[in-house]
Amino acid sequence: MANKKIYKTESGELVYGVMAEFANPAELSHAAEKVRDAGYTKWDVYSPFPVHGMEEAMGMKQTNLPILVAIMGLSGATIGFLFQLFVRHMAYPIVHQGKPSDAWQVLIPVTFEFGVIFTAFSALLGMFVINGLPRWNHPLLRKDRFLGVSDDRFIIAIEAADEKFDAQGVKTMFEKAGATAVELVTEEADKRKVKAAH
Amino acid sequence: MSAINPDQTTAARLAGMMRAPEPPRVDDPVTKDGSLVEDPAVRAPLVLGNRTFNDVTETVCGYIEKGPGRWWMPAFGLASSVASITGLMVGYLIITGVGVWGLNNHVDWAWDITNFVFWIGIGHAGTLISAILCLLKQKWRTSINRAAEAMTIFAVVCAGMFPGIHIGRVWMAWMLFPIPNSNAIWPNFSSPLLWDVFAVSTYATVSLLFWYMGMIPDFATLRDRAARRLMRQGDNAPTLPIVGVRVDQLRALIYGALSLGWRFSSRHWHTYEKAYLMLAGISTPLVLSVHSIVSFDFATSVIPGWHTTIFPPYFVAGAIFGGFAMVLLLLIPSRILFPGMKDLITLRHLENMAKIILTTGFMVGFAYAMEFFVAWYGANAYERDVFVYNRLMPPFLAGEDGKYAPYWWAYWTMIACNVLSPQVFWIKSMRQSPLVIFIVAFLVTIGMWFERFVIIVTSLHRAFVPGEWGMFYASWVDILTFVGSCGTFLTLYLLFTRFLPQFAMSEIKNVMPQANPHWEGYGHHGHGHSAGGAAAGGHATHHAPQAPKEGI
Amino acid sequence: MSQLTSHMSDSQSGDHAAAHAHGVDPALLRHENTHLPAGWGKGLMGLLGVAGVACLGLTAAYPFVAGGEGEKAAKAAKHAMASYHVGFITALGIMLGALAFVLIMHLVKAGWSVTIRRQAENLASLMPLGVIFALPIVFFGGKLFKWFDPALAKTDTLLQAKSAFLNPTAFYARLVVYFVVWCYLAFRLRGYSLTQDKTGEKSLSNKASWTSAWGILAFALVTAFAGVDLLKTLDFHWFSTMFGVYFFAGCMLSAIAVLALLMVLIRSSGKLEGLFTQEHSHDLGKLMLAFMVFWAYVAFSQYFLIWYANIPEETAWVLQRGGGSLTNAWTPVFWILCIGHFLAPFPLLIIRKSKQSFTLISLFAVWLLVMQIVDFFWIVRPMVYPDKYIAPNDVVTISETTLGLTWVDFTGALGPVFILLAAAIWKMSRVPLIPLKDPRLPEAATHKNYV
Repeated sequence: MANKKIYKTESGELVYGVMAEFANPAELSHAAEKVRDAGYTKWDVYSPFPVHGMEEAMGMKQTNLPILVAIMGLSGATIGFLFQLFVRHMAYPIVHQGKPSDAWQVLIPVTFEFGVIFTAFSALLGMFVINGLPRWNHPLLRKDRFLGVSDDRFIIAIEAADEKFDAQGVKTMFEKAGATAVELVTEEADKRKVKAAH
Repeated sequence: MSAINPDQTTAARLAGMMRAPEPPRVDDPVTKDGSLVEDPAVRAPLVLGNRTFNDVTETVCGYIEKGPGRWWMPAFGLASSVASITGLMVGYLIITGVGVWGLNNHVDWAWDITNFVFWIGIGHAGTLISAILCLLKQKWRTSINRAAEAMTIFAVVCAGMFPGIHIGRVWMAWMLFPIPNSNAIWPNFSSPLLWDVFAVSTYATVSLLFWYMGMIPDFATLRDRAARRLMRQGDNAPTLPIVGVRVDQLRALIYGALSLGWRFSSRHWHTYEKAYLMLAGISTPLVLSVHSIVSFDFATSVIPGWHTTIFPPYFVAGAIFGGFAMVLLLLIPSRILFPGMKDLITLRHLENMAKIILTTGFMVGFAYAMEFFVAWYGANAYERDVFVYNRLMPPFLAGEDGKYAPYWWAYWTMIACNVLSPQVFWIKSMRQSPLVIFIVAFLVTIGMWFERFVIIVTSLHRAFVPGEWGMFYASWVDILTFVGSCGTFLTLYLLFTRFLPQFAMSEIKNVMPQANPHWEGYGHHGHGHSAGGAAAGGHATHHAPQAPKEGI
Repeated sequence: MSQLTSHMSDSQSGDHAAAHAHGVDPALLRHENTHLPAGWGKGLMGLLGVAGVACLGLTAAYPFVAGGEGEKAAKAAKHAMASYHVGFITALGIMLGALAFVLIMHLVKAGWSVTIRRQAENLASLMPLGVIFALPIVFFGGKLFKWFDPALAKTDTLLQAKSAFLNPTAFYARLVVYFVVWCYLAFRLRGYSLTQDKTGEKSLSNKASWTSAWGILAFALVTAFAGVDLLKTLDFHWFSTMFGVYFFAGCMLSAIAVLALLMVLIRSSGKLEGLFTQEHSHDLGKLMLAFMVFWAYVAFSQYFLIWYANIPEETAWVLQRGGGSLTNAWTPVFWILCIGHFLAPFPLLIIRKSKQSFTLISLFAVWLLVMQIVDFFWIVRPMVYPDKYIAPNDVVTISETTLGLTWVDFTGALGPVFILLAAAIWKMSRVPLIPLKDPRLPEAATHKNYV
């Protein structure tokens, strides 16, 4: 990590990485397996839908999100239970329909709802945090070709930040893996340049 | 046509200038549109017409970008004028007081709560359909889940209004929430009505999250299409009249903001799918709990006809029943009104929904029967009388004593619509005919409204002592408020069809055959594939180097 | 590769799929992988069978061993009968749940569960064993059901009001109807499946779906009423509309637990390699989780509505079982059910690993089966201790009760279950372990949970 290389184009723009397009999910999966086997770490596969088996093909680890969500859900339920107990038993105890003010039964419905709302928010927000979203600005999103992913295109991109990154080597590997197009992606500071480039 | 160098037509299509050509229509005597496959070894195709991924994008985004068609504006105008009645009626109610409704001292809950339960029932169905079918891995859900979820939100909007306005002094509604106040008064957490507040608001929030989360990738698709058009068209892009903003600029901005910068990364998809599954997993018990809690409003009481332990699952079954009916009421006309929708919502989809209507119809039928049986078996005179003389007995069958149920017509409307009308679905040709399904769905919607009316009004209008007896007659304000709520629902749904993706594009693409990397249409690229054929068992290890180890 | 390509059959257009519909790797379907050798599992079967018979023998002997005269002897006989009833209901419940499993899977045309379905068919087709198990009721029903007593019918107003339903003749007639419906459905569906093993006729799958469509209606009605007849009428003053659903939820849960045990047993003997994988175990575990939650939902709703409304004739049943604020000997059992049947296993079973690992899922299956027995014990046994019909304000009677737990409670509850398991193992080696030519078998063989 000490000698971190910084890649720049001839015109001096920082290089984000190299992206390659593949014809279909099958090609994409095979290429992903090759990238995985070549030992890259900072790379990603982009597809209009989650391709089945891609976790294996990319050698991805299972996400820890479920643990976070479970903890949040249980805490939510506990908070809900204790809050109701505080209101019913301590802050404003009233005898209602002969039910004791510390009856646990009546607390169940709202306890459950508290648990649910904590679970739901932590699932969604946890997903955002783990995925680094929202991030409205990304070098890839400025590539015309890349925008096709949201329709029917399949792309793999390897970042220049990867230790094994070497623009030429990556290009060759992609071409060998059957890429239909390979492009260099730069971290452009000025949007207008992009437009001109297209 | 290669993917990289498209021909002129494709290029035009990619640029959003042309609709995809209509594929030739299949009209097979057995499989009709090609989806009614009888062979048990074959799963029916979920997308018809040999559509490509791009076709799906074009079709769904087309409804937003090119507009749904000329019918939309008049329909929207009509629906929103009906919706405005709601505002008038609610205003009149608040200014004058709840006396403008037909409620009285005997029947103190009537149309207000009937409408609330009716709408909340429909509102439950959407998320339930979407979440349960997701948990059960029912791939056909991808074509109906978005509309169902949208419908949920709009129905909850309509439902939420009624308890709010029926409390009388609307300006005191904040007291429903546990807000610390100077009188040190807290709400009563042992009251089912308070559970309702928490349940319904939790439900509305989580449904919104679920709906929104599903739409994130589709927003990104809309964003990217707008961005690409901007790149290509430059200054020639069409602008909005008067304001002069480029339409696609606006789309890229709004849909882009909503998409949160989603970029279809597989690492994101992995977490996303997990999170979505967990949301579906928590939504399912949530929906069950919310409609159960709505049923607790009645069942925790001691009123005959209300206090019965089967209410929670019975209400949930009723919600699925009524909800599927409403989904069908919306989708069957949509199939006709929106071009290309018949490829996404096939006859098989409709048939499956018809079967679910039949099944859930039996579930509510079972609950009606069980209530009746136990009212008799419990040998409680009040229970027996509520069922026979408050609900069932028509005047022309009355005995010597001349006792009959004044609301017998409501009860029998409910039975006819909810239990009898779905029986036509036993016949295959009936459950495969969109027209018949539409008619039955309409009847079921009516029946489900009457179910709530029967439960609420018939139980209340003759309680324990005859001194408490009295009839309920709806006032014109009652009626117009309900009509208005239907208009509100339709207005919101029409707005949804105009501005939001009606189908979960990424999910539909995912259930198309070519989405599977092992589809036999691929498989010949010198990677050692052999499509089909049983001899190649050894390849499994080659292609799945990290296949999970089996337990034990 | 063939497995993977045939996976496609679920989502593509006709001709393609038809060509690969039978794309299961023949290596997986080889005889040794799909059949148990004749006489397999004799040791286990013998052990369970002997244990079962011994348990039943001891249960029958209990009244004589306990001794005593008059009221004490009658109580001992009642105790033995009630304990046996717990076991009978558990065994019957397992068979009913298995039948429901078969019906539902045919009805929804499920693909993933094809390799599990045969064991469910076997379990359901043991229904005649249920008839044999029901015989003691025919002979000693009066010890179990108070309302059999004609003298009581003269004095009890409530019984008079429902005597059209609650009389021994009608009761036996109903039992006959129930068993006829159950046996018919079980044999018919298993028959289709076994015929298909030989002929491979695809239309049999459609016939099975059709049978299941009306079958599940008949099953639901009959099973709900069986729950009423066999359990609810033990306290004939009490009523609850939910009870049929409650009974069904318990049946389903215990059947799925037994199915999981049987499948793991088969798998551990080296069969069904590649046909019952951790993916199937995962889904079976999910069903187990789902029905456990469903049971909790139904049980809570029933309890909660009765507790809240506090109507004397309903509350008595709950008070007797320790569910009120007034605790009695049954209160610990009530809490064991709350915690053991739902709260404790829920957070554990929700973990993916618990469902995928054959060892863990077996442990959960045994645990939940035991809990289901406790559930039926909690429903049935208070008829012996406390013996009395409790008035809700009768504080003394409620708090002075004892459980009266003794060895007969174990022998009675376990005897029928052991015998049922022995019979299930006997059935296992007599037919192929899976429906060999089911048109949806390829789907099951390649089943995978992607998310």
